[in-house]
Formats: sequence, C-alpha cells, structure tokens
Amino acid sequence: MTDKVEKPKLTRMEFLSLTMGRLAVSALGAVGMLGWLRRRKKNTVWQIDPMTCVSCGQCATHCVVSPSAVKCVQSYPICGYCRLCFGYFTPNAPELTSAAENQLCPTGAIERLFVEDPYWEYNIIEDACVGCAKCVEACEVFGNASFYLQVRHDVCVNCNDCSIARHCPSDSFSQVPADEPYILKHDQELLA
Amino acid sequence: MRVIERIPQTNTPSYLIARVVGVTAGIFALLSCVLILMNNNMLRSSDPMNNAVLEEMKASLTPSTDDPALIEKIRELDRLSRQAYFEGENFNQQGILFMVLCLVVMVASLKYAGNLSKEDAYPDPNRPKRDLVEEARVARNTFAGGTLMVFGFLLVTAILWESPLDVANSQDATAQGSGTDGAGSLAGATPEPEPVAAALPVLAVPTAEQLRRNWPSFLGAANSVAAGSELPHDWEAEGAIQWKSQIPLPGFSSPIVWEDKVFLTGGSEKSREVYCFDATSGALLWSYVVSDLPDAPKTLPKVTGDTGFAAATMATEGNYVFAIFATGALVALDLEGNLIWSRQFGVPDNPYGHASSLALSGPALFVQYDQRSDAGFYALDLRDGSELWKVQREHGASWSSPLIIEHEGQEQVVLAAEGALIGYDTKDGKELWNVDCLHGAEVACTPTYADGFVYMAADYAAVIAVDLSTKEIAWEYSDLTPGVSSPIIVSEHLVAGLSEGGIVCLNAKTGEEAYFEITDDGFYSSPVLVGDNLYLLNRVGGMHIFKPGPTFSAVANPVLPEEANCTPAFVEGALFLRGPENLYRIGS
Repeated sequence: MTDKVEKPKLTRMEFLSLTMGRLAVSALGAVGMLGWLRRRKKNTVWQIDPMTCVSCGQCATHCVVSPSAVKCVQSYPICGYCRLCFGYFTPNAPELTSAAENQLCPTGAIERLFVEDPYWEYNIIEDACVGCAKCVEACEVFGNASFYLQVRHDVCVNCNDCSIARHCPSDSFSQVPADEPYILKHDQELLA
Repeated sequence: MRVIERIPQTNTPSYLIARVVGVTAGIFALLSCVLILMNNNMLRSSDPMNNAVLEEMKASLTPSTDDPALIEKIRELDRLSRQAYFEGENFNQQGILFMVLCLVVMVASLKYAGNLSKEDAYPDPNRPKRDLVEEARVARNTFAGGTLMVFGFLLVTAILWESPLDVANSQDATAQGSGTDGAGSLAGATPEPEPVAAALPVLAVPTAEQLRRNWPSFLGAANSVAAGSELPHDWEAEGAIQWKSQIPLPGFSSPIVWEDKVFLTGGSEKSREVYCFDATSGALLWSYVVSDLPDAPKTLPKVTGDTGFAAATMATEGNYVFAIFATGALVALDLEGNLIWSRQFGVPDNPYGHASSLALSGPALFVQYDQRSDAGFYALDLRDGSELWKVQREHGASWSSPLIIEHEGQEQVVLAAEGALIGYDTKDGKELWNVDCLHGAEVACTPTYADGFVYMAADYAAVIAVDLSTKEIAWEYSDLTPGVSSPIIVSEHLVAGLSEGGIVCLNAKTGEEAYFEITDDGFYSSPVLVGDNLYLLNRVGGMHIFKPGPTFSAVANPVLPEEANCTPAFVEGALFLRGPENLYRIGS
C-alpha cells in the first residue's frame, strides 16, 4: 500500500486570502478592460489651438507633469529668421548674443544658429522648455508669431482629464483625434 | 496517510537576508519619499521663471550699461538657477523610480521572508502552545499603530505640501470671482471680502461745509454744482494754468479733491494705479499699484479705447479714498496711500469695460456693478468693505453711476440701466420705485434730480423726466440725446452736451426744446454750474462757458493745450482738469 499524499485542507485565513486575492485581480482586470475600451472608443487627445492661445503662461504651472508637457514649437515656414528675434532676446538686450543677460527664455531653451547674413535660425530645445510662453507672447506681439505652444504627446500622460484645459483662460484646449494629435500653425494659417 | 509539514525557517540565512533586505528597502523608500518632498520645496524656490533677483538685475541692464561685474553676476545666477531647477527635476524623476524599486524589493523580500516563517497548519503537539489571544492583540495593535502612522504621515504631508494646482485654483477663485476659466459659468461671482483683522475704526463724518468746499466724487457732492465763483476765462493768460503734472498712466476717470490733495486713477494692461497729487504744487505725492494685489485677476477684461482700465471716478469722505478699475478690483486707501481693504468683484462681463463711478452716503460705499450676467448693486461698509446689503440686478451692462438724492425726507440712491430707472432705499436696498424706460439704449449718463423729478438720458433712446410723486414718466424727449455727458438742471432748464456735438437745452417741466447750439466737437464731459456760469468741456479740450437760461449765451471758450474727456473737479477758485497725459490746475 502506497502512501497517498493528500493536499492539506485550506485554513479559513488561507481561503479568505486566496478569495480576496482573486477578487482583487479580477477587479483590476475589469477596470483595465473598461479603461481600455473607453480609450479605444474615444481615441482622442488634448491639444492647444495656437490661433486662440493667449500665451498666459498657465501651461507651465498647471500641468500634472513637471516640467510641463506643453512645449513651445517653432513653425519654420512662418519664422522670419530675424537677427533681432523678440522671442529670443529680452527687450533692450545689451547685445544680440546668446549670453544669459540677453535671453528672454528663463530656461535657455531656444538655440540660435547663424544661417547667412542677416538670417538666424531659432530651434526649441524641448528638454529644457517648460512651456512658459514668454517667447510665444513676444513673437506674437513683435514678430511673425512663429513660436506657439503644443502638448507634446511623448511627454503628456494622456490622462484625458487635462488639468491645464480646466484653467485655460481662452478655451484653447480641445480634444483632437489621436491620429492627428497636433494642430500645426502653418496649416491653420494656410486654411485661413 | 502522511501530512506534509511546513517547518518555519526563521533561523535560516535566507530568512534573515530577506528580512534585512525588505526592511532596508522600506527605509530607503521612506527616505526617498521625504527627499522628494523636500526637493519639491526647493524646486519651488529655484523656479527660473520667477527669479525676482535675476529679473531685477536684468532690468537694470540697458544697451548703454557697461558693468562687466553685473553681467558676470547675471550669467552666474542664471546658470545656477537653471542648474538647480533641472537637477531638481532630474532628482525627482530618478527619486520616484528609486522609490518604486525599493517598494517592489521590500514587498518581495518581506513576502519571501513571510513564507519562510510560516508555520505548519497542523502544529506539532510537542511544541509549546501558541498564545493566540496575545498574538491577535499584538496584530491588532500593530495594524492600528501602523494605520495611524500612515494616516498621520499623509495628513501632515497634505497640510504642509502645497500643490501648485491648489495655489493656482485658489488664486483663480479669488482673483476672478471665478471668471477666468473662460467658460463663463462662474463669471462675475463675488468672493467674500477680505477678513477684518482688527476692531473697526470709528470714521469721522464729513461736515456739510467740507463736502461743499471739496469735490469728493463724480459730479461733486452737490449734483454738479460747484462751490466756487469765478474762474479764469482766458487759459492762455500768464498764470491761469497754475501747474501741470504728468499722469503716469492714462485713464478717463475724473479727478476728485479733498482739502490739499487731488486723487485720480490710471490704468493699462500692465498696471492699474491710484495717484495722489498735491493740490497746491501739483507734485505726485504717492501712487498705489492696485494690480500688484495678490488677488488681482490674471486675465484682463476686454476694454475699448474710449473706456480703458480706469474709467470710473474715485470717491472719498475724507478718511479713505475708494477706487474701482475695469478689472473689478476695488480698493480703499487712506489719504497717505496705505491699503485699508480691497475687494475683487470678478472680471466684469462688460463689452466696453466697467465705467460706473463710486458713490458715498453715510456709512456706505455704493458700487453699481452692472454686467451681462450676475450683475449687482452693492452697499459696502466703508471701514472694511463688508456688504451692508446687495441687490441682484438684471439689466445687462451699463456705464451710468449711482445718484444719491433726498426726496420727501427719505434718502434714495437712483440707478439707471437699459430698460429701467430704479430708486433704492440707501438703508437696506429696498426698491422704492421702478420706471420702465430707456429700452435698447447703452446707458452711460448719470441721472440727476431736482424738485421731485429725476432726469435721465441715453443716446438713441430719450431724455426723460420721472415725477417721483406719481413714479411715472412726466415727459420724454427723443430728438437730441446725450450719450455720455450727464445732464444738469439749472432752475427751469435741463442742459446736456451731445457726444456727436451740440448743446441741447430743454424746459425741465415740459421737456420742450429751449435751444440747440451746434458745436464743432462732441462732449463726454458733463456740465457743471460754477457761480452764474455753466462749464462744459468738449472732447478736444475746449471749455464752453455759457449762461444758463432759455437761450444760449456764450461767455468764453478757453482751450486746453491737449484734448480732454473727463469732467473737471471744481473747488473755490480753481478747477482740476485731466488730459490724456497731464493733470492741470487752472485758477486765478
């Protein structure tokens, strides 16, 4: 006669622990599935309409991501490649150089490259940009308004409950199709 | 039958290592959490976007500045500021990852250690018996203590940690009267006044003589009648313009005068300010920047060029001066320019910008805050800005100002707006009478009162007279109507200046036209009776001085060196006149 190995009986605690664990996993699965279904159904992301943005600076302070997922972008077809760029230089800048005292951007997030006299190219360093819109405002007032803000979806957590949208004073935030997540300014100007 | 036994392995190296690793990982996770919180605090202080020192240093630099030391300092501070900010951000990101990793290690290790320490479900009868009651008590206490600690930590963190979102939300709510969200759902809501820190002062009540000799509010204290007698008729004569002082910011608010001080407001998109000038020398004694108040709205209202940010005239009762701006900011300052209290009415939903001037009576400051939605008429305590009473109004935007009258022994405050002329009791805001009139008009003139009649006018509507004994319109005249300039009653005649040009005079009892004098330029300023003459300033700075009466009789027409739209302030022997850039004292 061989010894028959029997499974030990479950204690009450073990049974409860097991049941609760399975219930928790099931609930998590259900929530995940619902979330996935909802996301799949909506399939939209938040974006700023550059034509109505007023450069209030709240994108820098109201995003749940730090630094903000809103970054300045440069529209090269619109840019005038000015030597004196008001989005780059502070008013009354002592010299037109990239020295700190001359730059408007508080984080030094704009790169200024010489093209040919008298043209200069301005590029946004997105890792350094905090979305404060100082350059956007200045370029809007004194320049061609080629700088504008966009939500960068590689940074945005796409929580679908955009904190900045709730505070945007000009209602410039809207949900756009996820397969066309950016509102490009030169496209808008061409349409206009 | 053989029962599989599980032997606790609490003395094995695996158990000890797992336990030490788990506890150490937990300590590291906690430390990371604390460091991240501290780092967040540091990040706020090193925010490169709001580095006041750096901004100040940069502002002091001009193209002509040649200060290598200062430039070097700016560069160094700029570098350090950005370095601190980005290193802090990096620390946060790495710290969060590290904390999560520690938590995972802690849970895994402690779970492993827990498995090793599990006892057999069927204990060895030879082993000493467990004290289950004691174990349950220890478990309960441990659980309760741990829970309390966690909740305590969360509570302390929640109290101490100020989320930027919370700050922004509270600023929005206070500054805007909840109007900045653009949705308009809460536009114009009224936040509570600021709390009173100390016992309220007893304010001196101005005497009738003080009110007579000063010019304490829009159109003075005596319904557009000045105390003075004769004023120079030739402003080009030497000494006629006694002084001229530059006003830092533009505005359409008229000056007010109390003893030796002249007050007015100025505003632009960048700043809203209250100014005090010396009435004798014209020197700017002080200015108070209202837009620097912590609850100032971040979003400015849209205003038109002929209204601006400082169109409403101030008011004073000799203790404090009160000023309101197009942003909905109301301030009370003492005569030395110290803030007594302030209040935000929320950015008004007004197509041209707020322009209703302030009025005072007894213990109350009256604010007519007519706008498209959530309009109100407020009586505020002079001492602390608290509401004595408030009346909800539903007449849309208007730019008219309150008129205080006394009719049959009862003090009333009369308000005009599109579709209605209403009298309220100054004590409790009770509506005493309401006349249906001025439909379709943009109401900017201020009503006037004489002999039991309230007179009001609005462009593209009519000039009306309301008989307060019957509370009905006595007569209506709609041929030539003023748009901004408020009418005046002198004996039996109503005189008003038209926006597009011309002075109209009507019989105050019948509404019949006495005369219409064509002028080249229009009028925004209101006529004032000084001695025997009426003074009415046109929009290019020309003062029409003429006799009241059934026919137009010009006396003089001096001209200011610059255009002017504001009603002057008149005191004995002098008038104070505001141009776009300068404040003038003209006198003999």
